[in-house]
Amino acid sequence: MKNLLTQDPFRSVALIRRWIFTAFVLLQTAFGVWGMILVLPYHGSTPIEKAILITFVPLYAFVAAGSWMALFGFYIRRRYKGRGDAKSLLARFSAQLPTVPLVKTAVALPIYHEDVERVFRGLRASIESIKALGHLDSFEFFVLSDSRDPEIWLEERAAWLALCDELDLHGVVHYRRRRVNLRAKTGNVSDFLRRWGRKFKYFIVFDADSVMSGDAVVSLVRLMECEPKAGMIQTVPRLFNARSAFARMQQFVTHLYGPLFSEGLAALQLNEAVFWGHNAIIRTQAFMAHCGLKSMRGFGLWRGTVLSHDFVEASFIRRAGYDVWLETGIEGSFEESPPSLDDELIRDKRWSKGNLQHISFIGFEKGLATAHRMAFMNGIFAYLASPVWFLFLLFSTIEVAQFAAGDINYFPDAHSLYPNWPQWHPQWAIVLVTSTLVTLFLPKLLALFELIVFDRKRLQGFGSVPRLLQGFLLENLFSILLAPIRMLAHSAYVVQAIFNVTVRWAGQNRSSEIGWLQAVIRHAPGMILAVLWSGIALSLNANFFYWTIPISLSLLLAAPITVWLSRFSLGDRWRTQGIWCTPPERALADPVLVDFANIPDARLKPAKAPDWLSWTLLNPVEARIAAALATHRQGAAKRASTALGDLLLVQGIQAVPKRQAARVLDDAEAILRLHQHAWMAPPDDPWGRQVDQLTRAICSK
Amino acid sequence: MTLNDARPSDRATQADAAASSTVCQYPEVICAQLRWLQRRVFYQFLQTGCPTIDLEADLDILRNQADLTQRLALSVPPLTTMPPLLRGSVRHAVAVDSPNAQDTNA
Repeated sequence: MKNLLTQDPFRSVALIRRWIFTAFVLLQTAFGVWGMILVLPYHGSTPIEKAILITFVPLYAFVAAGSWMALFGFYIRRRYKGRGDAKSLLARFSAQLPTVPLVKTAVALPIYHEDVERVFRGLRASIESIKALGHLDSFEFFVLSDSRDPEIWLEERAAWLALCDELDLHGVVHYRRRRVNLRAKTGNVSDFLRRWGRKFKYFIVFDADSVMSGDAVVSLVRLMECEPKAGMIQTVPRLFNARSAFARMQQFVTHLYGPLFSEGLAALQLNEAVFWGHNAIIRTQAFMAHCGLKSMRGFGLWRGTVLSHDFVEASFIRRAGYDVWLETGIEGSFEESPPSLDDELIRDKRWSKGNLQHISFIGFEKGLATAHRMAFMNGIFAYLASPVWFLFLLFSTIEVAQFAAGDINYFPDAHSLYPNWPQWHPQWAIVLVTSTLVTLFLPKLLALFELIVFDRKRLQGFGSVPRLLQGFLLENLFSILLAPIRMLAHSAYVVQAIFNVTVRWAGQNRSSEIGWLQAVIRHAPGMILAVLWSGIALSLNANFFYWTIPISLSLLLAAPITVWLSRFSLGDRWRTQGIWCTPPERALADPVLVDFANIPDARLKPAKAPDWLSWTLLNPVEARIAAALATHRQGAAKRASTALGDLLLVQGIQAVPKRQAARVLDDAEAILRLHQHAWMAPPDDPWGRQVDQLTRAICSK
Repeated sequence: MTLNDARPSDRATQADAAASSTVCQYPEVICAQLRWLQRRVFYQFLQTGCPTIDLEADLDILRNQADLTQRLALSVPPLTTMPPLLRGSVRHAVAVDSPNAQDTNA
């Protein structure tokens, strides 16, 4: 590999692009800071104004970076007329791609307490899409479950078997459940690689809500074959299957603005892109040799499992000499949005802690590419920006309070003989606010402009232009309303992460609405804070109160906004009205999404059947399947499962907690013994009663 | 977790003792026959989706028990969830083999 690395053909281009980008961001930040200094009455000479400036600089730079990234993306898209960056893999290899032979590739789908029906529906749609291309023999699929609740993993197993039976995929789709799920998702994937990784040159990682078209999957494999230096290729997943108003809004955002941002990001990162954890292909041998993650050995937050492992793995594989590409030109890569703001915030809690862990990699990990250290910083500041913004507001309030209290100090510098007259320049404040708004909204306007003027084909997916504009305005209104709510939540998460509050590893809610009680409890602190802050602002200065309204109003309305946007009925109504329409919802949808929607609901057990554990032990087919899949136990494990079987035999299934009782499924003999006993048991035996109950449940109307 | 710690929802579906046995208003001899007929027929239904009843012969308890015993003795089908192992190792990332560390400091 080292020979391949002696020359990095992208280094000079990357350097030029990154320096230009950095120069623009720094220049704009300098102007912004200069404007802020002019706006501040003492021009940054008092301690509180220094504090305001210290918080303002990173905030403004961060916003400017995002804006320039999108502008860069706009330039690339127009420069190459939407074909993608000339340096991208797809642009360089598209001509030879159709003739490249495929090699054996694994598709790994790690899951943990997910919606089983949804997981297997997505997997089935992807498999059928690959099958339709005639390339199924080049792939094997691994459902890697870490689920602990038997009610979930038994359903997963039944869904896996149903999928194999229906599409004749035995030996193609595999299912494995880890009994000891160490190190969460990282451990799950590592365990798979240790056992089966050597069989596959590449593996593609799916998330529980991923769907990828056959074209996308096959293109990824072929691009890896074309570029032997590529260690990872990340696609840009677009959101789909949104029903709630919130999810549909997020879907609209990724489809409308996403292309600009992702194009800009890809053009700047080039072969030093990052891995987003799923919908990406990885060179197995390189990953196994260079990307094993040790537990962190620091203190507090920086101890234990690396939560946001994907960025770290990308930086490690790059350090080993492989390229990491973000390929924006591959269509047919999809994922889903959380259905509500609260679900998004729950996810952000985990991500914020994971991203803050990256501080140790920036500082102490040797040999990482600077681009990856910058990516770590960007990820960290994505969450750190919230408490910084909070502090900025706090310091601004203190500044206003000082003036309102008449506490005007003409000699802020104790060593100066000359007075420092506080000066107010409302015109500069207006210029600064305007420039900030332009920075924030210009990328969105450019995305809208590009779509309407240059991309007529994609425009059809958004419905009519008036509806698109209506959706655009509504989305901006809601993004303004949601920003302070997210800010407050993220600030709390950062503080909790610093104090190392445990983050529960749990499957995501991908399909439920939010209730009023839940929303009010979650957002009560923000609502109280908003009342207090507005009250203080009003008592200090009426003008300042008006400035606080956008933030305090959002926080006050957090609960109703959350509940309202989580409603499926609202999402459905707006879809009917054509608001926030996106290509997946219209005729332009990728065929894989059409298939996804048309897959009939899998009926894995009758609606009136008992829980999965009882059903597995009592149903003749399920019990034999369970026995066939049980581990062959020996020694102490065998003695323990026999003892558990004896206990259940005498006392019935309800005598033992379910997770404990489910351990009997590890022993084929015990399963069959219980099954046979239940069906031959007299009516007054616990198992006899269970069988009678099952009979009536299934047969009653 | 001890047994006492378990919440009701953690346990398998509790058989309702009062409602668990089928109410049978016939003499006990007939009821016993009907119960075993029901067992056998329902098992056959779950197993094959197509139960059969011979109205004369199937009221014999021993016959139903024998049929059920035969059905319960059916062999376990061969089935595997995963392919044969091909073990490898996932090595911990180290900084020493970083030939491009300098190249990429852009």
